[in-house]
Amino acid sequence: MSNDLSMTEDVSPGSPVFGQRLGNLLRGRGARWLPPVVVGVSIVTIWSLAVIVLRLPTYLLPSPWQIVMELAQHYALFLRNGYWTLIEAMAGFALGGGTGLLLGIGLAQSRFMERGCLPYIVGATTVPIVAFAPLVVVYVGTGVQSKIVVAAIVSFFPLCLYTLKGLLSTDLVLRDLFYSLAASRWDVFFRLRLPTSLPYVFTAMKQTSTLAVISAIIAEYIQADRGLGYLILQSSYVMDIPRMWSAVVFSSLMAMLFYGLVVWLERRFVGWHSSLIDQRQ
Amino acid sequence: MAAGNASAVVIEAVSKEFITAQGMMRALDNVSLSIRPGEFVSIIGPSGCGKTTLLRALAHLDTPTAGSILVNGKSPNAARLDRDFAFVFQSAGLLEWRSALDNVLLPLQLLRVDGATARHKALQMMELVGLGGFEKAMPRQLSGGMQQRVSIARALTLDPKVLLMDEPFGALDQITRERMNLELLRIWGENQMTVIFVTHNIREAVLLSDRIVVMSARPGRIQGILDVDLPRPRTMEVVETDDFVRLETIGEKMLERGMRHEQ
Repeated sequence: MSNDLSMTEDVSPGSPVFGQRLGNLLRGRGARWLPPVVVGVSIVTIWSLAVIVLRLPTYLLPSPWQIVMELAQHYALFLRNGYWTLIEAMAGFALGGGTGLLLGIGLAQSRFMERGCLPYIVGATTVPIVAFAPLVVVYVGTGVQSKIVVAAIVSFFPLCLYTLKGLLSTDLVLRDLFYSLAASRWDVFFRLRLPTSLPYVFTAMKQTSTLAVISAIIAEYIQADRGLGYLILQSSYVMDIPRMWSAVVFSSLMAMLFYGLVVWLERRFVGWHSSLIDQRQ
Repeated sequence: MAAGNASAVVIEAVSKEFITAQGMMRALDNVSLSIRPGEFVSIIGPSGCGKTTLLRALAHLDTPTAGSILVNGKSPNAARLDRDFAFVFQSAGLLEWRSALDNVLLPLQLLRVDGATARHKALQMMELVGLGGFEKAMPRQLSGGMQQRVSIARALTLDPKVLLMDEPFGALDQITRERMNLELLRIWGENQMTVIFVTHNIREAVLLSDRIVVMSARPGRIQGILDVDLPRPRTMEVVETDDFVRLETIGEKMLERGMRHEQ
């Protein structure tokens, strides 16, 4: 009987049931994904309408649909070039980030080294990578390796600084605890300082994952024969605006994928941290 | 028998001076105290009387500028390296990335006790503090009182001869605090350890202690020592007895005298 009732229930927009269900959706599980979906759909709709209503020609601003079509038709082109950019970004991320992590650990061991090196490291972070990248191409060569080095330089500093900061942020009570338990230096490092630093390290990794993609593309602008930066530059010479837009969209999708991978790792390894608890519950 | 050999803790003429912007500050001034094995001693006093400094000096977390300290017949540092004492802090000080059980396991892991033995001991300690069934809980999922229970369980895993407690229940509400007081008395009754308990709550001190050391501030001195001869085992009913109220009043008077002394 009640089944019959629910089947004939009025759930059309404007009915009380519809409002109630929408409310449930916004408060319940939908509360997390619904708002971004609504905003995203709105942006795409406004963009599409603007292109139609303002009669913008494709060579000025393609509609979202045209970008999707361009990506679908020439997927091999974007995948091939995206592959190289992603390789450069990831290799640079691993190389620079890894080195930064190790240097951060090293600096945390000695107050003298920390005080001696920190001003130069902080100073070096202010050098714009765009200004420095041509020098890297001159020194390292025009191949993939110069893009990796540029991405590595960008990845190095955040990892180094955040690792150092994380390792030095141990709670005073916990330091006293480990001291009163006569813990070895080794145990203090692996059981206290390293776990304390992990949320900082992941913050740096999240920042760096997108920066590495950006800097690989910048390096490709300077000189390259492959990659998304190369594709964008080549397309600009022939004013292929839809292709440029598609490459931009593709590169940001790729950066998001990279970022998402780091976030996934973060949830796995520092899921205990208070900054992540709200998101999980 | 010489007093030094029979004592769990000997504090002799201990002074501690800090250099501050205003000049020299005497946190502790010529403090001497001897504590018998198995005794429950509270140290009470207004803030700035050096009670925490004294407790930290016993654990080698702080070093006095003058005087000598023996814990279990050894220097504080030697006693620390031998794990003769355990320290319970005002905040629970749990590793937030470890479960309750893994927090209790920490001291055993640092000593490289093998897994099965350590686990058995840690589970036993969790039972002792009334946290059986909460082994997998993460610290953030536990209330303040439960977190402090984990920290007490952790302190007890190595069977310390001396338990040093720095206002461990200071952040808890009155009801939880009293429940924890009784739990602590039960645990202390089951072990033969010495407890040195820093607090600023006279009621708590009377309920728990054999002796109460009342300190005064600036400079930190022992104002007087109050013997608590209430029968044991104690329950919350003792709080309503005339003897308890009398001791509480005497303690309060001593504290007040100490604070007047300060002015």
